[in-house]
Amino acid sequence: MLEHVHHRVPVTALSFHRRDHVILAGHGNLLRGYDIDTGQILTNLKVFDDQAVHGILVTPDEDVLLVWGGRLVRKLNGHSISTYRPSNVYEARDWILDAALSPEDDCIAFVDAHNALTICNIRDLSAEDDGSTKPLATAVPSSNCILYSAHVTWLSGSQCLIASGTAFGDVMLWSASISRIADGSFTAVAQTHYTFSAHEGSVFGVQLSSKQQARRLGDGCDCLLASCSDDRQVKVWDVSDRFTNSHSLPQIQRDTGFGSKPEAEEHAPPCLAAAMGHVSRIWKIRFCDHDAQKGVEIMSFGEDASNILWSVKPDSEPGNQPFALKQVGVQNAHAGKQIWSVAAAEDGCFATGGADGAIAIHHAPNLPAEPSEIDRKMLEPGDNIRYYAFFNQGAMLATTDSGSVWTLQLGAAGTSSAREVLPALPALRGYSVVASISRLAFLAGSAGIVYMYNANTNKLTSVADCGKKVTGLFVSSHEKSHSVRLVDLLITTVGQSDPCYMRFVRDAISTAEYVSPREDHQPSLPIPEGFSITSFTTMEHAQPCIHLTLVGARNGSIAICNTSSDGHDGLIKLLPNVHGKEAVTALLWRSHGNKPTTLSGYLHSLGKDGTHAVHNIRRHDQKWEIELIHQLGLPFGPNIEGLTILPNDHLLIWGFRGKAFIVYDADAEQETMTVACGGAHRNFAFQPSVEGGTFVWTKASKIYQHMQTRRPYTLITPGDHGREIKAVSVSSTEDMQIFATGAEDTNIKLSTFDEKDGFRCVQTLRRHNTGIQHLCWSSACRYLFSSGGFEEFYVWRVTTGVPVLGGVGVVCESVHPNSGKSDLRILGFDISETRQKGVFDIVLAYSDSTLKQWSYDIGTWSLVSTIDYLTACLTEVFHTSGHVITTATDGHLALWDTEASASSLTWRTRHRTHQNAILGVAFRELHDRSSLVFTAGDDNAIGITRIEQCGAVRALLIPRAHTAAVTAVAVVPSDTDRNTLLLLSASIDQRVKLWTVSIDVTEPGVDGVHVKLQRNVATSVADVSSLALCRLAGDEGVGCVVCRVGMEIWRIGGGIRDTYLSRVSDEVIRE
Amino acid sequence: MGKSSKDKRDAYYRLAKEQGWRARSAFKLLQLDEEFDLFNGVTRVVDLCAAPGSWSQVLSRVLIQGQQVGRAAWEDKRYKELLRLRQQGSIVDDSEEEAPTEAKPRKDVKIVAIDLQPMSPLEGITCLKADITHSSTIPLLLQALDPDYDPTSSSIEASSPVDLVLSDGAPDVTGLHDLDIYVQSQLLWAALNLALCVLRPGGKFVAKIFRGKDVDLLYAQLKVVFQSVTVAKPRSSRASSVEAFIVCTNFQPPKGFKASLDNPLGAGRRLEQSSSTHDNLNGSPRTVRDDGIVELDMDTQSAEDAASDRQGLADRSTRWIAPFLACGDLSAFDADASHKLPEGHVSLDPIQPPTAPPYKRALEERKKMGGAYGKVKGAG
Ligand SMILES: C[S@@+](CC[C@H](N)C(=O)[O-])C[C@H]1O[C@@H](n2cnc3c(N)ncnc32)[C@H](O)[C@@H]1O
Repeated sequence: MLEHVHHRVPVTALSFHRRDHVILAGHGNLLRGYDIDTGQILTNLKVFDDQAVHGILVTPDEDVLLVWGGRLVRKLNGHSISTYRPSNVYEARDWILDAALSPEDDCIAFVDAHNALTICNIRDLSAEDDGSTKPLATAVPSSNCILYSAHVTWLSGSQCLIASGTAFGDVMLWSASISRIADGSFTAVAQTHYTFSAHEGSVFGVQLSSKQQARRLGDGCDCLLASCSDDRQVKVWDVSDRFTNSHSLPQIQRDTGFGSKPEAEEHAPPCLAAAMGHVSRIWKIRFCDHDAQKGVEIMSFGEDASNILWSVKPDSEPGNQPFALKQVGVQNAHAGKQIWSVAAAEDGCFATGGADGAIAIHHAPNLPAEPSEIDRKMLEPGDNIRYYAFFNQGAMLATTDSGSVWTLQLGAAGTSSAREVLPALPALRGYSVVASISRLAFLAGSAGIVYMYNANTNKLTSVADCGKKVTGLFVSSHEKSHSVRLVDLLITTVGQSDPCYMRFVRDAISTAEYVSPREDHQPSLPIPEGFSITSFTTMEHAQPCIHLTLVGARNGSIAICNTSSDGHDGLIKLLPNVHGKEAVTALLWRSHGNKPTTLSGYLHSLGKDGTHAVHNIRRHDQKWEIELIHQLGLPFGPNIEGLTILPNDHLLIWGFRGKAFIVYDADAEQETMTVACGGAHRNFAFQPSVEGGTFVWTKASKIYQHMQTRRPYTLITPGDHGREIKAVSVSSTEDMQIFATGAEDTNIKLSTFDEKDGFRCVQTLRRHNTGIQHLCWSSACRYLFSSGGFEEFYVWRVTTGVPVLGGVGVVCESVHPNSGKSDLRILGFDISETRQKGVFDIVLAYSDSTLKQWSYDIGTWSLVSTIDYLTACLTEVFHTSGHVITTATDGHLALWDTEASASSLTWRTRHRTHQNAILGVAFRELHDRSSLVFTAGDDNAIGITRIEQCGAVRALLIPRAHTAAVTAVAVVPSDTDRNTLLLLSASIDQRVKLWTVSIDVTEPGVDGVHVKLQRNVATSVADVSSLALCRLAGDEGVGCVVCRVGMEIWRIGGGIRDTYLSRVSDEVIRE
Repeated sequence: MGKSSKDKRDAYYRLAKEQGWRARSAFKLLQLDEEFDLFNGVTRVVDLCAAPGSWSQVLSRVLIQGQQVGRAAWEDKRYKELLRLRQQGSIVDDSEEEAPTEAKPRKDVKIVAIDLQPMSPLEGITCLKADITHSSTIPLLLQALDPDYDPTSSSIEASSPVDLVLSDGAPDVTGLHDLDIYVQSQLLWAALNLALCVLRPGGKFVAKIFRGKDVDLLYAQLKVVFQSVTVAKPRSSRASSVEAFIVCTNFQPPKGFKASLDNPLGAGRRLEQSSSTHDNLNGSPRTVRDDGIVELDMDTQSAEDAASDRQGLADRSTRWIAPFLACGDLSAFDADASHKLPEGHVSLDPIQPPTAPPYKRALEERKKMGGAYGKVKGAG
């Protein structure tokens, strides 16, 4: 019983394994090997029982892996990635910070958190595993001051150089001469070179350069030291001169607190450069090796989950340090906070591991970091490019101030060439608009003449004269058959509400030209008065033959019009304010349906409200059915500008955030391209591709281009919050099991799980402004409810099984009217479904000791009752055996009266079970209609309270159930014995326990309740806060998920099938 | 949210300002004292990790000025009122309205406070700025306790020992949980090392502890040198925090034990286990308490399939779970609850500005450049 299935926890160690093209990663106590290209897990080894992996070292022949974490070390032997097998565990005296392999023989040097050096020969470590733990002896004893960082390197086969950083800003540089004595052990003579105050805060990272790297700063340079700290500084020191000796830190009897004055004894190396970076603490620093041309480059990695590349450049400013650190680039590959691990490969590629459980493989930058300006030499002096649009891969049509029309061809290296299509057209002078699709573009100006540019013929022809200044051109096209292409053009003009609608057809077999049907065959657009068009798309369905025109407006509305010219023309539906009062910037139609005779599809829309919405549009029995199935905010915006579906079926969305242009892969939840362009409100054009695309923009009258042909990084196992998960709720529908998690990052994530690939995030709900406190699905899982601080309470409508959006659409159906009104937290809530679809009774438990009962009816809220408990913060509310029950930080359960009349809720009795806060509950109704309530106590105890229907209450307490606060409990009935329950408990002692609870209901109170511990296992999820049951594949299909710093799945086993889980939905009123 | 939002969120923050404490931590010590009578017969105290100094203030008020700081200081008056309204049967002792007692200053009081950070002086208290994990701090402390101490002597034992050693030390947590727990345990070891040098037999030791993975190893070690070890959580400490306090009484230095500078406890060195730390599990597993709750005394460590899954040299016998005790009556303000502010509430400024973080300069620098510093959505 209780078998580990999978976990996704922070990545605390990384190393490249070249031969097998693998990245090795420490995830908790597991060592995983992933194929670098596909992200596939190739090996998954449990290295330690209950210790996280903090370091991985691969020998040059790649036959031995050395893995360490905390005090423990383990050697793994093997010949390929799938054959490594662990040997005995060794234990050092203290926490290991770093290890290095000597260049000549097989010696390993370890530095620990008290600056002790341990040397051993890797061949001397046992290759067997007899299950015992063996000690490692130290060669240089500790210096009795605590370190946060250390880096050890071998200068030769018998000499180590060590840099170490203390919690209080000091850095030490010391070396040790190592010799092997007769008995095979090692001794060392240590020498301290420098002990100095390097930073104002804890030194979290130190790194020594190689000689080659140091030489790039000058011949006199042999060794550089880089350091980073709590004080947000990155510093580079010249430690080439190691002839002088310094006192070691313990010898210096100086003040040890913060702000101590450096004393005479202190001996500091010259500081070459210093810079401030990152918005929070800086954990790690590395020298970048791959490109000697670039001089010395270093990379820093921070708590802010970003990595910054710095280049060390001479600084000629008098009075400054001799060099300056110039920020070259920033990447934000990880979600949430923290980069905990880093590894570099020789080709300049490097990997980062975050608290989000993701590994980012960063490719060596191969592109000019600076944007290139598009050459304007071909233009008349004084003339300038104004408007432009892509009509082909890397090809744009552009108009100038003087009204001349050009084609521009852009090259990958930032080059461009221009060709004039027509010299100055008076109709386009001073003002013009351009719209394009593949191989076709339209132009118009203030005179009202509309031109068509056909890339096949490279000709510009006039196609219409509106007689008024044209304010907008919108174009859409589809292939009617493999040769016939239909093009729809909308022209809006100044002062006229009705747009002009034109249609062009081209039969590629007969002609290269597009022809426009006769006037009376042109469609008309039945949009309402004052509908100011900002976006447009069309769709055509063959059988029945239907042509739809979909337009978005400046006021956020969308109109769906039938433009079939079959007599059914007309407005099908006006969807008011889909994007609030903000403009709809883009529309995209995706047909779907296996039956060609029914029209069905999805309309994607983007708005300046920063959201992406999807409507399902169906025609069924001659009737139109339109339903909003999805609308969520994006992680950038509010200026969201465009979208497309890539050949790999991923949805790509682009827009702006601050001063940057962002391209976002919505399916991978990854920013694929970021260009610093100055921000929204400018002319720009973007042509997407799978790896990025081409972005052209205007800034201060100049035109720039940036072409990206490769994503800057790829992510392996993305999708976690990267912050502490505070709530989890698992849906129980048959078709698709969704794990909803809410975290400190204020987001809710919906993920799926399978044993092979682990968790996959399908949607991120970014609407809360505070950390999530509680989550709960309605029993049919059509709704998800979430609560947080500031009285935030949201109702989400979730649609599963859709062919877009990774299968799951989410709409925030309602925000509780009190959300944001006060600083109260809602720690728990109880949802009961009523007989009416979409109507719920909701009881909310607040941090000020009040309980409020609301009735919710599809978006409308009415307060039923409100009542004070006492003074303690309420932690949970639930109902069982006809009682509403609350738990609180005072350790009490309180039973509330509900029957009297729903008009008021008062608590009837309260029962102390715990000394301190109750942090979790689970309950189960027994067959005599009494209930057992299991409580997780901050007092390390588990309480089991029996509540009879009459209200009689008796409690059983297991005082030392865990070593530390019990934070979550869950209960499953045993399949074999109806008088036995399985109880799971989790604690911040990082243990999960499985207990059997047998009940003889005929005995009074808890006399018939017997508890037995069945399993006591270590979890890799630190600081566990929540636990939920889930369904797993296979016969013994019940498992549980443990959450907080990561997520972990356990199979409960022991004959429990998932009948219990599906039972839940039997009680549900069919929706 | 206005200036008073933190006052609402955290009653103890507000009370601390109103009652002149430098930090809300003062209430933690006061509530521990209420439960354990920590200051009874105590005149010589070492306060480790003391900045900004609210524990030292408590020591000063209780020992030097001889005041009584009682429950009234942190009682939420609404609690009993609400209970009365609910007419909940027998109401808990509300008779204990403390009459203000006369101040009784104690004689020969000696208090030494140590912190890394500078601390504003407090009358009658010797403040040292030092790192408690550093070996040079031991002679520094001995000298402060006893002006006759000769730092050149190799002795590291106090000639006139102290009655109580307190430590409220906490590292700046990184978020890497096992590392944070390790660093916190190092602070605890350092405090214990100092305590072993200066504490008199029978003395008390109170220290902050993170209740996390392997905390039972620490409990077991403390149990070797103290007769009674309890893990206590004052009401003023949030339910959501890993913080708790280990209260150790009746110091019994093991025979022949010598505190050592070169080989301190912590990294590597362990105290030899005596067999006394084992709980007697032979008694009846079920006991009915006075309040009717049935307590189940059972082995909660070794499961059926007891295949040990803990590598390392420390085996199961070196683990022990200290009993838990919540301190402070239920009428005490709840640290997790949101509170309505009393009528006419005026939000006061903190008594002491918080100590400057090491990134203070980064903050200033960024402010100059006009950026919002460190604003990460949902941070904190
Ligand atoms: C929670 S505060 C103590 C509050 C204090 N008890 C009061 O009531 O005002 C923790 C203190 O531990 C200190 N500290 C952390 N590590 C330390 C060390 N190694 N040596 C000395 N002090 C340390 C910090 O500087 C900080 O002031």
